[in-house]
Formats: sequence, C-alpha cells, structure tokens
Amino acid sequence: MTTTATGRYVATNDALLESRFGFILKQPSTQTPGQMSAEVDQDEFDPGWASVVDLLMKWYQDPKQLEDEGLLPISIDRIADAINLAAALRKARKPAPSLVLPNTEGGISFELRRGAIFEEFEIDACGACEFRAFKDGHLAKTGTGRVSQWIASFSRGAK
Amino acid sequence: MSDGFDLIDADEMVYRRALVTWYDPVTKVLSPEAFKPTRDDSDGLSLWRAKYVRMEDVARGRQPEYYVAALKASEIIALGMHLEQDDPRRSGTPGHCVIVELTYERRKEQRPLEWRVELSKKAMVMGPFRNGDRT
Repeated sequence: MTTTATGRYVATNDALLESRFGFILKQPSTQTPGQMSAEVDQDEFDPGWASVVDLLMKWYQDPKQLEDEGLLPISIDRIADAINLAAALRKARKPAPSLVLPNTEGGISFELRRGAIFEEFEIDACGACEFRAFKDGHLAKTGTGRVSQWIASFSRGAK
Repeated sequence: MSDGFDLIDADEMVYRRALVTWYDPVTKVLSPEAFKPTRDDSDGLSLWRAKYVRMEDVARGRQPEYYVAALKASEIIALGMHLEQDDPRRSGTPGHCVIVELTYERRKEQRPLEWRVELSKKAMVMGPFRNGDRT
C-alpha cells in the first residue's frame, strides 16, 4: 500500500486483500470534491481505517516483527481476524481506532480515546473478542464474543 | 545512592518499558497495554526506580527501539495502589519494584482494568530509545 501525492492510501496488494479478506481499498476518485457522485461517496473511506489496514497487512506479511520477550507470539489467524474486524467496523461507519497494537498475550487490540471515553476491542490468542468502554476511568460497558459474531452483529447494525 | 533496600519515596519517578506500537507520538496517546501484567508479573507489575536505573537501560530488549513510560510514585499511590521494593538480592539488580495490585492473575478484574487506563493517562512518555542508546 502506498500514499499518493494527495496523501491518500491506495492498495497495491489488492489481490491479496480481496482473496483473503474479501474486501478491497479502492483508489480515490480523480473527480474534484464538488463533482463527487453518491456512488463515489459510498466508496470513500476514513483515511484512519486505511492506515489501520495498512499496518495490519504489514503484520500479516511478517508477524515475526511483533515478537518480543515477555510477549506471546501473534498468529496469522489472529491478524486475519483483526483485518476482518477492521473491515466490518469500517463498513459499519465506526470511527477508526487511535491505536492498533499487539497485546502481551498473543492478541491484538483496537483502542479509541475520545475525551473521557476510552473504548477497546481486544482479540485474544484464541479468537475471542472482548469490547470494553470506560468513562472517566470507570468500566462502563463490556461485551464478549467470537470475532465472527462481532462482525455479524455489525453487518446487522446491532451492538 | 543506597543499596536498593530503601523505601520508595512519593516523589520518586518510576519507569516502565513500552513497545513503540503502544504509543502514538502524534496524538500523545499511550495504550493501557503498557501497564498490563505479563506472566512474569505474578508478584505485581514490574517497574524500575529512576533513582537506580537509567531510562535508556529500561528501554533495552529485542525490538530495535522502545518508549519508556514515567510516573511519579505519588500518582500510583493516589489511585489506591501500592508500590513495593523488590529484594535486590532476589532480582539481582537494585531499583526493581512492583505495583502489588497489578498481578497477572488479577489482570482481567474490573479495578486492575480501570487502573491501567488511569496509569496510561497519567504517564509521561519518553523516547523512543534505540537499543544501546547512551547519553
């Protein structure tokens, strides 16, 4: 994936993305903003999500870069889960996380901090995914399920 | 400098190493993951006292570079946690201490989860330090 002169992300490994994850990041339209059609607008994506997918794809291609003492290694399957979750969240028009990170136990977390609110999706080494929302430092909401269940819930517009 | 048996003063700074992926230098956001106990933290979350250990030495490991999260002991105590000096004869190095409430076994309990979020907001992040950095 590369950055264009206009600072937008363009997928250069489209085939890999499409075959493995069933989605593709489309090259931004060359139309000027005032000429955008509804269809083009539909394909527009949050640049934050493009950065997230870019980072996850780098990890997918070389998971060894995440290894460190004290940390359990992250499997390809968990990175694939994270990419699929990112795609579902993006499709559901959820805001891109402020941090995507390997956790200490072979999993991956998406974190979003907005003022007094801190939210995280934590995919564990077994493929379970826990959502937590904190408000003013207090745990306010939690939810647990398989990554596939979260993805299904986003596609139904629930949760 | 004493031998590492001295009590931790409230004004002392303590350090914790953080992966580069756990901190966004643009938004200045540190992940609570930096304060999540690992399997090695069965007695509490490992920290290093600035009085005994240099930041650059905390930032050593397998990765090419790390950040270091720095907190005042009083900030940890104010949140309701306790800092305990490790016996330097056991750890082999003076300056190692632990937050006794943040153990690996309790890592998924509500209060430890909340403490991690609070610590990540209060910590000052320094670096990144490349492995072998010396000032």
